Amino acid sequence: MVSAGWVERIKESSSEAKVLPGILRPGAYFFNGDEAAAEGAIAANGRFFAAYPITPATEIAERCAARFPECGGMFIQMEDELAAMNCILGAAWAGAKALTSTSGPGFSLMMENLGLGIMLETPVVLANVQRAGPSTGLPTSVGQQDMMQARWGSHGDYEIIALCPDSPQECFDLMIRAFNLSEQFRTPVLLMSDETIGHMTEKVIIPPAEEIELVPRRYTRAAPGDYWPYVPDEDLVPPMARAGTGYRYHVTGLTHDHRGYPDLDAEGQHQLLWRLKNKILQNQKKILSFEMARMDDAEVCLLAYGCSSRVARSVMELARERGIRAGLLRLITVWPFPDDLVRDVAGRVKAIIVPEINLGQIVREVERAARGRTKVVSVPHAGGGLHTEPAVLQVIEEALR
Amino acid sequence: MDSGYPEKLTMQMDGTPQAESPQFWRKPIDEGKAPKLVGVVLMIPERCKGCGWCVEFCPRKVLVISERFNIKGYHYPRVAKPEECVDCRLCERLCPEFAIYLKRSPAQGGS
Amino acid sequence: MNPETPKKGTDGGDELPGSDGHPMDRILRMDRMPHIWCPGCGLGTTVSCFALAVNECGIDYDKLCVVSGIGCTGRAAGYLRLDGYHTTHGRAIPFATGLHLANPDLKVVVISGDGDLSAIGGNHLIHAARRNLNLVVICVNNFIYGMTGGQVAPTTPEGMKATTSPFGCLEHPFNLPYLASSSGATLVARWTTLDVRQMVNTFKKAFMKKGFSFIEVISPCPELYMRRNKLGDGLAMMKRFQSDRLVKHGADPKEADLGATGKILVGEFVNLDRSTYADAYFRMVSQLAEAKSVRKEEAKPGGKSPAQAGAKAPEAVGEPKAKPRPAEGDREGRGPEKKAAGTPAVATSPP
Repeated sequence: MVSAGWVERIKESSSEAKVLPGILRPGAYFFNGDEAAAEGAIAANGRFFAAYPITPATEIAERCAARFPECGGMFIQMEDELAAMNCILGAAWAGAKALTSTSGPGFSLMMENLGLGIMLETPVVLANVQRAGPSTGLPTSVGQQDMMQARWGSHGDYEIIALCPDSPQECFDLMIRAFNLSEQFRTPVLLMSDETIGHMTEKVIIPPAEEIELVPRRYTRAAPGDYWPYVPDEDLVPPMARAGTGYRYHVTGLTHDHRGYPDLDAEGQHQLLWRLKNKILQNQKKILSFEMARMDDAEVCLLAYGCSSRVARSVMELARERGIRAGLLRLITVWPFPDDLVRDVAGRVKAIIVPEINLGQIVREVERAARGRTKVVSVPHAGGGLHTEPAVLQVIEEALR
Repeated sequence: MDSGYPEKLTMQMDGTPQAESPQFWRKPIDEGKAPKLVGVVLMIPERCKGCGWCVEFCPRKVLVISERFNIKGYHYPRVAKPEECVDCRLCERLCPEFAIYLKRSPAQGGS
Repeated sequence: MNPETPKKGTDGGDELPGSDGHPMDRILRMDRMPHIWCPGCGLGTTVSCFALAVNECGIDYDKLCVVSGIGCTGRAAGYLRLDGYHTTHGRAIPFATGLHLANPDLKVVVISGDGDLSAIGGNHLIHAARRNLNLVVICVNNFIYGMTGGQVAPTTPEGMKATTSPFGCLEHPFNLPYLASSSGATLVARWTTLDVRQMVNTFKKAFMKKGFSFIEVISPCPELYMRRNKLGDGLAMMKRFQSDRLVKHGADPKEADLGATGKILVGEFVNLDRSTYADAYFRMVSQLAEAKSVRKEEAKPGGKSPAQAGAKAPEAVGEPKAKPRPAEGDREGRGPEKKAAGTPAVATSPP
């Protein structure tokens, strides 16, 4: 008993550049970050959700469970995160815009098939509401400790796109952007939220449908007999074909050629791996997003992302009150890492201070990008809470001494 | 099963190698009425990997292993008793290499 | 996608008539042949029966998807000229779940091996059966991990040798039909690679079945299982099937334990009907839509108060207006502005 028109609407949801009518509920809401992310997925025409419950990402699943059925979407709670990740890959190939949500331990389980998503070039979104680890760690408390796992967690070499929201509103906005980037570059995109943002309740504005721009899936225009799944367009991204439309393609997690057939030698690997990497690196300018505050005259730069940037912003104001010309660079796109931007900032300030709720992850990238042009100081935090303003301020003062 | 035969008989026709003529456990009620089908065995020898299943399990012992080698170096089957083939297509289903198949005899409307 | 035209026999064409093409060629990717499977392996036979079943039951090729995991059997998806997905180890079923639920018009078939489906993917197997997803799972059981060189599998009979059980397997093997049926599969069958006609029939039944079908195909692995255990070649295993198999339709799958020797119980063990996940989901969707239209009616002037329509259910979709404007409130009917003013910042998660 398939609902009438279900399959057609699923197809429309991925091929339209606008929110499908009758779905969106514009207005001002009081949402936590997780709920806002779920609403963002609906606004992005997300129609397939599969996940396994895990604190602090559960609210995304709960909201989707309640909302997807009435929005013409499919919700399923899978038996584990391995299944959840694979399930959304299958759904994406069947024509749905699909997402999953998880936190640290589940993120580890999803790593295997994140790699499959990258290899099959499948547009999906994975929201990770980070908590403190390792292992079960602090299930209900904040961490930003999966940032390097996001970049390197799946085996093999790859490029990934990761966005970090710093408010419930941004959970909504960036969820839409994550879907757009995943469609544009045919790759899984990570929304790296954290427990603080996920469980923080703020005003969230859902704009009217006409103000939301969506990137439709790049479906092939080739005739079924002429189509091969991995013949890229000029921007190195290959068009896609939906399952069940007569293209009868084969795709594999093995190293493959343009036909999708296994091509198991060094040359095939070279061709494929560089294309997968370059389709993101060549288009980095389209992916990059950041926010700068009071950086024009800054002598010291606070570089932060996610919930840490909220502390950093307040530290910046405190420092200014004390006569220190502090500025804020908030990374929204953390992966691919904005090397050029950070190098440029490094040439203008006496120090870059990197507060993050881990023992120093993104600071390594900052050090690498700064190439010794300035002093880079990590402000680590083991997780379970936010930095205190005086602690960060003290680091700034010491760095400038 | 839906072959129209009693299960026991179907099994016999499937697997059990039989002697020169079918040894039924009872006389079929349509014996003499049902037409005896005649098949033509077709073969793509270069696909064969010589597992010997078609030769072993042919209920009418139509096939034998050839003296010759194919391009891969395997002894492929050869039709020894073409007149015995009843178009049961067991060899076609059994062959793991998609190397052997049947056509209905032209006399019975096959192409 | 032009499958190479099979050439006439270059030698021996006089002994057997040459051909214009095997009838299965149109469903196979002939540009990928010969396949990787060893002489005497039953995987080709299984694919052959699958292709025959597809041809015979007239199912639309374009609506048929094949998903495989990793291993020798995992390559099956790559040899069939259908929408084919070669996924990661053990994950064929969840991938197929996504395909099926996003497009329930597709017939999704998982063809994978015993190690893939019952060891690393065992959890997915039992849960897919429990949910009664409309999938066909063809599990080729060759008692060993073939692709990686003959390691012990959850199906290796007790005492049999493998590279990782050089002194004999210490574990009791899975009885896969029992596992599948006790997890809730609605069609459970087992055949050997000798039972080709029955296998084709069961495949056809499974394609037409609405619900979770699990078909175990017992296949010889001549190179890695049989050679190490001095059991002969593929033909020897086929002869064992011939002498040891026992057809018993409707048998209790509990009795279907497999040993290194002894009877091999085959047949269609379970065939029943119960509601699938997709059915239940779409039933829920239509009930929700009905409830929503009732609430809309009641909310009209002269109708009942909206509060009577159940506070927990999602409210009717509002007409898009210019932003920003105060919303009707959250899903639970709480006014956003009121909450922002008074209540502490806690999650408004559903109860």
